[in-house]
Amino acid sequence: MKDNEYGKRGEEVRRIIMMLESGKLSEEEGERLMQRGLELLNEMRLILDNIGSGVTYSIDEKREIQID
Amino acid sequence: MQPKTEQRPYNAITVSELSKCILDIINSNDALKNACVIGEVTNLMESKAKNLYFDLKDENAKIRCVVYREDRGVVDKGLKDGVKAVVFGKVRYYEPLGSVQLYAMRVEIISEGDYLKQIEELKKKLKEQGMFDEKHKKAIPKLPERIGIISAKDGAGLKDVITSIRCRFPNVDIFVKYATMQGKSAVKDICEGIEYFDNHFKVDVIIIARGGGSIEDLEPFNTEEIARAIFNAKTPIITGIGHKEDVTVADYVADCIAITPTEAGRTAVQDKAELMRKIDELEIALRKAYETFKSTKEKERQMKKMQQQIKKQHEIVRKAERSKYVYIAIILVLLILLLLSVWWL
Repeated sequence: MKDNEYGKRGEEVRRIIMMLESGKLSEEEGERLMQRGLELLNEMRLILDNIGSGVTYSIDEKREIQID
Repeated sequence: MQPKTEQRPYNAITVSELSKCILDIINSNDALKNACVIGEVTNLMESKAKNLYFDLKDENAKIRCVVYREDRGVVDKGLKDGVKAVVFGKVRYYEPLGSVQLYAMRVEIISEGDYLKQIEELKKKLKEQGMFDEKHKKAIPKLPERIGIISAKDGAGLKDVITSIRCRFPNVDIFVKYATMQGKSAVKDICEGIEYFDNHFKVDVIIIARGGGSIEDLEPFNTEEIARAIFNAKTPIITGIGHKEDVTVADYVADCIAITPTEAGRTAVQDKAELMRKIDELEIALRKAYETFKSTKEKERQMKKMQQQIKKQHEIVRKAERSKYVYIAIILVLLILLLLSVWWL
């Protein structure tokens, strides 16, 4: 399940925001964390987009079904 | 001109003639004018015109009862599906529908009714066994990838739950196992559906969905078999059975109860658009934090530069002061030399 993957990334981004706000980092570290944060956010978007393929499948009919 | 007489094969009578005949028989029977009937109430509903309709039944038969809006004051307050009641009224034949109905003038509740009693006893038993305890409830995953639905093939409940899921999370995979949702085979079908999704075709969450119905229609969901199947499943189960006023034994055992199939779909998945919006908000917060960080660093840099300049100026002043003493010393030496030379001369 994607709960953990998604949740952990969200937590890490929040931690990065707090570290940046604290200002106790070197400029290089700040830059590196910012890039990491953006990467994590993109990964979160990808997780949501890669959940399933949108199929609605009938086990009994052994075929995809359409619900209007 | 005389109207043309219709030729009827076999001297058949018309439906209206038959209805008139039935009506005459009913109207001529005094016992039917002041009937007093005992039975269990079921399929209770209120029409838009605020008339009450319900069936009064026993083990072999049932009759439709009507209470007009103006007579509702003579109905006991606790009238609901499953109670045992005595209905006083007139039996009438309603020709447009061809149905015999009991027009209630008074409805008196006698007891809870056998069926309701059975349900209450089952609830008590399962509760005592801890089957309703919160500690046994499994968490519903926040981002399920595969959802298993157990529902009737052509039921409104199935359509509602799928539509609701698709609206919120379009790309999640949905697997449907058809089951009879009322009647004798329903219990077996639903238990098999749970077993299938729990052990043979793993899904992240199971939804049992069924649209509204009478207390009898929902009977399978008030059985011990289904309650135990839900309780023993390793996969979290959401029930979306009936309308908001229908709470079955299955609902008490389920990991999450939704008041309708639509609500069950909403409970199973989060709103993807909302999640995407939250990610965007997080990105804005991240960029803002970085901007603040950068401007802090810039200020620190400027501060450092200013400190260095001040330090440099201090150095110059210090040097200048040092030079001043050297000059004074030179002047003093020269002065002493001058004085010595004067003294010498």
